[in-house]
Amino acid sequence: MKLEPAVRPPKKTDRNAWVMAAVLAAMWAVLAILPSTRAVFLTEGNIATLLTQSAVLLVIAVGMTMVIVIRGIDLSVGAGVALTGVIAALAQQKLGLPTPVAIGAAIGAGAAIGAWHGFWVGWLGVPAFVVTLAGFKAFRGGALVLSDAKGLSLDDRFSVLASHVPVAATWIAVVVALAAGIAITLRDAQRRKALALEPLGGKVVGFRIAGQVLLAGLLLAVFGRRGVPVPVLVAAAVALWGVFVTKRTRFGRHVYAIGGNPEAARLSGIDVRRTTMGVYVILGVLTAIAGVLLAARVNGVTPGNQGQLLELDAVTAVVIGGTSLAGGRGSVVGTVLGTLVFATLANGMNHLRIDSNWQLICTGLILLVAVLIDVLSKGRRS
Amino acid sequence: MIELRGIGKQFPGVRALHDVSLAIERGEVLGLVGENGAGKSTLIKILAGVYPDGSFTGEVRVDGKVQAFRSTRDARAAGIAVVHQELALIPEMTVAENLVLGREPTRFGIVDRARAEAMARDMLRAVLGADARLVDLHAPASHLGVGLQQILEIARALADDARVIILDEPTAALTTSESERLFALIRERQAAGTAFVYISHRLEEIAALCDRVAVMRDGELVGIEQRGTPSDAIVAMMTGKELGDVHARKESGAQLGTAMLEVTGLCVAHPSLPGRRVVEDLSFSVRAGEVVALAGAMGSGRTATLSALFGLATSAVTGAIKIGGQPAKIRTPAHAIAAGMALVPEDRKGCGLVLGASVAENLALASLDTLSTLGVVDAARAEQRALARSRDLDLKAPGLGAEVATLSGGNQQKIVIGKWLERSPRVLLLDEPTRGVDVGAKAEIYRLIEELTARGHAVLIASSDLPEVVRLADRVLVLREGRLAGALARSEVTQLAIMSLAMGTAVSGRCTEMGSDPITGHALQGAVS
Repeated sequence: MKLEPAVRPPKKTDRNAWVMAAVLAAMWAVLAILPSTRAVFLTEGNIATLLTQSAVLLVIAVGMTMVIVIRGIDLSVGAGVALTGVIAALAQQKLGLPTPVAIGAAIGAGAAIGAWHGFWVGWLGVPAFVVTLAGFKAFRGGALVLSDAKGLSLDDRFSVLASHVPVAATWIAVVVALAAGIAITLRDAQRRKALALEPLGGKVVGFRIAGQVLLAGLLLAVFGRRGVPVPVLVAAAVALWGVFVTKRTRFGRHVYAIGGNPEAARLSGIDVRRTTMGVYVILGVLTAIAGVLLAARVNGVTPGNQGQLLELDAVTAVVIGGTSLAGGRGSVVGTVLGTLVFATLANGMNHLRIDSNWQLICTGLILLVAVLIDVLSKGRRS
Repeated sequence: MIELRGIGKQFPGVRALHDVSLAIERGEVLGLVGENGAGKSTLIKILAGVYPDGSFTGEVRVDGKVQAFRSTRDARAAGIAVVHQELALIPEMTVAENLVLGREPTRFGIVDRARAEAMARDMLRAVLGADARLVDLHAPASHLGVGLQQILEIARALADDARVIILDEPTAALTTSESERLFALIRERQAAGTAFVYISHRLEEIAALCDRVAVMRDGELVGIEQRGTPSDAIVAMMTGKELGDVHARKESGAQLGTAMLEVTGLCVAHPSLPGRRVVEDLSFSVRAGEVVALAGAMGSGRTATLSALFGLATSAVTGAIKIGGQPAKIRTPAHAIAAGMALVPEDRKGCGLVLGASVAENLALASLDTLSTLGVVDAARAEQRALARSRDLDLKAPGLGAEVATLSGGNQQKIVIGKWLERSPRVLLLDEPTRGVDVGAKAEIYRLIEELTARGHAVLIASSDLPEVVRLADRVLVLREGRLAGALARSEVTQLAIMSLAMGTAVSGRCTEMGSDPITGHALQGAVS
């Protein structure tokens, strides 16, 4: 009896992540060399600014990745950022609640928004585009109604969220994260040996650990002397959590299964509705976190335009990062890289003194090129 | 062990099932046959919990206790697993991820990846034995052949401690050797006490495997026959009429005309492995009025040849093609259609039909250019043509406006063929023309193919169904690993001759206990060792 052995191709998602990382490195290299940006781009201060500015976007993009993987979309996150910001500000200013409670109220509202979307999409079967388009309108309206259409300011207690973590804490956070990463890698290798699986090999283990050390080193080079900004720390935590949830939890596997083939997922005993609900609730909570971070950074909420276009920027970052709008394929790591590419573009073009209107045109074209690369790397599939 | 009592199910306007009572015993293989639309799928869905308790009448009992399945999960917990015709694997996920899907070993929701992989490895060993090593657990499921995908599904069912495994048309996409592996696995598990419900249109498989056969027609159980009932009696029960022998070979071939399709030195590169070819230096011709069949194991280049001829190949294609004596350059399906070719693809639902569109819309799909002026479709003319065509095809549909997704496989396939007839193609390429189609529709499709050749069309068929090849072909080209292993003239065509060429060995004529097909007397598919 002959069995045709399965041909093992290189893992697509991994390869795309490498391509994205190379693109990002190339962009940074060019900006570090060009005469007009040489002096300013690759400085501690500028990189810290770049990361701080992309923090809000990244927090949302991590959740958006999961939503897009299950073949959904959320157009309401920009309005959600305004609404949750308004709720946090009102809870603190008008009701006089302590800051953590105010933040908790915003997060609760975000979870409720997500559950609302999950209910409409998962249980009632209304397309996500329509459900969240309604939210795009309604939440903006809600933010305006609650705030009487007036800008709200925040007091100093919120500004902690826009400050820096002390240097010592930064070092501890990075070292702890690195130790956890190395521990997980070693444990994986050891578990595989214990269960008589094809071993990981010293090279792979070494490579992974070297990568983690390199990343930690980079972070310390940028933030080691001045401390990591709180938004960056939050965004990094969210991103690590996102990688973990999508790659290592049962929930994450079910998310990919639903995106790949919802019917097959259902027949495999996966509760598609509950998983869908979970994904939207995650994005809702992350939207609230982003709303609070943004309000703290700009020190207030302007309900009419806070977070405007954030939904489309998030989709752009996710798609640049290699996640397929058709669902089932994509990764949080890709989204992190996509967000950084997106932020580097904006930062670089500012330094190059490119007119902001032209920046829009450039961003649009780059989105197309990014997706084209993805389509070409997949090969013609028809 | 598992018992259905007085099951009835009503859909809007249709009585899908009426008073069906059936018991499945431990360790038996129960065949379930019936034409498409007879109610087999509905029955299976009730058993599997797809239709929740309350949406049908009657009872499902397991070990004498009445069950109220609310979801597939409940049915699985009761030991009932289904391997669906449309495979329930996630193409982007790896083999290992698919195997453990829905039963991931976790702690606090975190997947223990090493244990998951070990679990997948053990599941695979349980069904494949030592061959499990050949399957890469990290390859995406989409890289496996259909046969292996099926085996993965059975592995999943077994891992659930399923007491009854329902196999819906399991061999429809399998090669002979893959089917053989499946049968061996069924017998092995049967001996261990697992019961199977085996749904198939291939009566020879039913005869070989099943202890009893339940026959359904129009939503009712018309009888349960013991092993050994002649296949023609079962066909008569299924159809309610004497069909005669579907696989009986037709009389001597139609008048053969000039060469319609001439292929010289066709080579198709492997889509992902550089330097390898899936079709190697293939030359042949098909004459007007002739049916040429491409036979061979899965992966031997049958489908790749048809795809390349129709401009669908995703990799480099070289070689010369002449149609009606004229050299043709074919790079896209549009070129192929313009040159007078038509393709009925293997994957009916994925490539052949717009499932959500109506019968009339699908029938018009390939001839919209002739049906429209200045880009505006003449809807009345399209409908009139569709009406005439559906009568020719003897299409059984509630109306021209019905969604094709709601039709049976046989009627869907007639539509796929029918849409090309509008163009009257000189060369018709058919890939697995009767896969998943019931006996009645099969006979009609064969008749249709014969009518086409009688009118002077040239037909090239790729098929893994050996009785079908023997039945239809004037000439058989047997492929092995992309090369022409041999050609058989009409007088030489037997299943044995095809298989020995396909496998590259002189196959002895020894048959196993499966015996020979009671209708045709041919050696059974999968029976020759």
